[in-house]
Amino acid sequence: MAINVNTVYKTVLLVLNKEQRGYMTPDEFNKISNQVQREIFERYFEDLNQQSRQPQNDIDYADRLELTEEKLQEFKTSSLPAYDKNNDNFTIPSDLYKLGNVSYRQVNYFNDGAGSTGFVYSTQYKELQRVNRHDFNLIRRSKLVQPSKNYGIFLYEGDKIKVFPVIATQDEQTPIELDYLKKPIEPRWGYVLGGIGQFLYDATTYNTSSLILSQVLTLNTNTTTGLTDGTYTINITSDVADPVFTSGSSTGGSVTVTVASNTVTSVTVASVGSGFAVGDTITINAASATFPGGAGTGTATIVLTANNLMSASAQGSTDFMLHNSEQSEVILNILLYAGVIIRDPQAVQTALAQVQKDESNEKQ
Amino acid sequence: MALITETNAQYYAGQQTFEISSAVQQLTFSFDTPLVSAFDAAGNRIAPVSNFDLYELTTANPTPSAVNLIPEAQISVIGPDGNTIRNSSAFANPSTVLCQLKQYAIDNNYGSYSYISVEDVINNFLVGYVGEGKLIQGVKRSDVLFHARRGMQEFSYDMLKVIKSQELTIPPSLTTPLPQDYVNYVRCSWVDKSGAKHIIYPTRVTSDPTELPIQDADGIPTQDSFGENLEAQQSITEERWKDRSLNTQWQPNDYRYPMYPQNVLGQRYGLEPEEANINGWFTINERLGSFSFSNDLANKLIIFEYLSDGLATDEDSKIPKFAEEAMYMHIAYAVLSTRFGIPEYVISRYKRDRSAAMRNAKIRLNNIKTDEIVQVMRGKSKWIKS
Repeated sequence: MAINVNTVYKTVLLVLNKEQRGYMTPDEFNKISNQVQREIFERYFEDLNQQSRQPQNDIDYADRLELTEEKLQEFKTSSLPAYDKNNDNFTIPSDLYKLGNVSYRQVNYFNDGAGSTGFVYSTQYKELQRVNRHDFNLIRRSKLVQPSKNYGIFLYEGDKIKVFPVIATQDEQTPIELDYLKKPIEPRWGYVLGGIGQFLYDATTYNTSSLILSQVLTLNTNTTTGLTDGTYTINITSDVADPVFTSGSSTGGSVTVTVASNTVTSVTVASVGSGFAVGDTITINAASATFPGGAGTGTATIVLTANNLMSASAQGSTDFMLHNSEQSEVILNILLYAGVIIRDPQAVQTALAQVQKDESNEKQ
Repeated sequence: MALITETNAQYYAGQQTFEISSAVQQLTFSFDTPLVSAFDAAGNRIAPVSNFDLYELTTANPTPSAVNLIPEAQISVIGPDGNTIRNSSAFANPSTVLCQLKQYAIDNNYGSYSYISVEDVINNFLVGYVGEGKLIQGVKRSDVLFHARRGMQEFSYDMLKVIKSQELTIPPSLTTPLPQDYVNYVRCSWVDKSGAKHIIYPTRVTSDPTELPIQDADGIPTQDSFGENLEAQQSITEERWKDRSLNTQWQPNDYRYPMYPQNVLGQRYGLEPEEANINGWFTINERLGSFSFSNDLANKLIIFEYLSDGLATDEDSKIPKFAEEAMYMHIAYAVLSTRFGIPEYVISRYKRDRSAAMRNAKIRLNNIKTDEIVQVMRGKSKWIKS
């Protein structure tokens, strides 16, 4: 369970605004939040190391090692990495933060010579042992422990994983499975501007490939005629027979098309969707038989630029990935940094004292 | 979870059936025995013979016979686990596909429950002895593998029942090569017409030289143009031993017979038990990597029993369950004793545990049964008549 970014921001503002100490802008908050999340996340590994050297108890909710593991569960994941046939290695996922267990299952490729081909996977995963170059050279020389199908090893160098013994190579196969910790996603308090210029929290999930809500898109070409005047909200699809379709691979998303004097005059984003990319062309197909109000002729096109994607706006929010139990820790640490920003030594000292007290209590 | 995964039919009869109700080409069986096909998916021969037969039982032909046997060349084993097979065309629908292991495959599987594989031992050890809150907090898998394999070797030499044997006929050359996985011999016997074994003992009367340098007139070994000693192709000693006549006095036992002073190697009175048999003799020829037999054994059937180290093949890499605990203790002791910072009292505790577990395993594997001992001990009061 993640920590709601809006709850944290509001609490921070509440404390800061007490006695008119100062104010923290959303941008400052986002940057500090990311820093704080990283600090807390990094600390887990040291905590794990310390706690694994101490005897633990079996009482529910009191086993510190288990608690730390629970805090990390949000970041744990696994994937089947892509195989690079030319270099005989595997490419690690882009969101990998720390590599955990690597396992391997045998796969057989068959080709009956008559057009039928396929892969048959073993049902058993065998753990691969991670070795450094020194161990690798030693292990390769020993007949008793040299890498085999049952006792494989791997090198992790240059963001690539190389498995020994060399496994059968086929383009499609992904016979190793990585368990790893994901990078923490940066928290983001997204907003839209209110009527009087105030920041209003935008609860839409932030996605760099989403459109910007309510943005008016620029028409690059427009030859539409014969349409019925009005305002129509139309879904964006990938079917060229539909009234609005995209050349990209986006999903979801819709636009509000305004037709005046029988031609398209403006296109506004009605829902943000996902999977849009710079260069995608959104086409308003007036000739579509399903165009609301009746078909016309011609098309209007919009070529998406970086300014049309959510990453160019302040919209969209991302919660902290940290465990719920870290909420007060997050708030205190943000306040600590906020005290520095607003130059309030009292705020810094109070927050620091509280953070230290919590930490010493946790590690006693 | 129960450890037995095969059904009674799979174990005893080597059979498993699948009801076919749709067009399928692949089936996954669950035998403990990996299936081996003689052909691959493209129809190329990859092995001399399959270890199973596949029958397509239909209403018209409901019992396995040559009529509903699927040709061997049509079937291939495609899965890495050795249990997924593929037919080059879809199985008849509806039908019942019967997989019948061949007799030797069934026989090989009998008794497999009394063993545990080294891989399972390693996995169990890592689960039970390694981890947070345990004495061994962490260990490299390759370290455990090393100690397990070394343990396998040591156990094989003096504890496990990994005695292998070959039935051979002594050729006219009187030599047979050492088996591929030979470590040491246990016993060699020739077999008479009734199948009874007669132990052949090694002899100390002769031996096979390991080098045969060619000497000059002064007795100095001669060298070739590369500076290496010239070696003779044949050993004169071996030739003489091989060619000796069985009808003369040149029998091993004669060498110490006082009537022939020229042959007396030492003063001897009475019988020399090690030579008091007529079963023939053998020597180990280290130079040729073979066993040499005396010429009275030519063309005789022998059973040659020997020890391996348990690591020669994957099939060997298993230990009796009676020795499982001993193996865990061996690995634990080996890991702890080679690790930095482990208190000496902990190491010695594990040394004692290992010793006790090995002693237990030896006793168990000696297969001593009270009833059988009683039967043997009854012979102690038997009168020996002269």
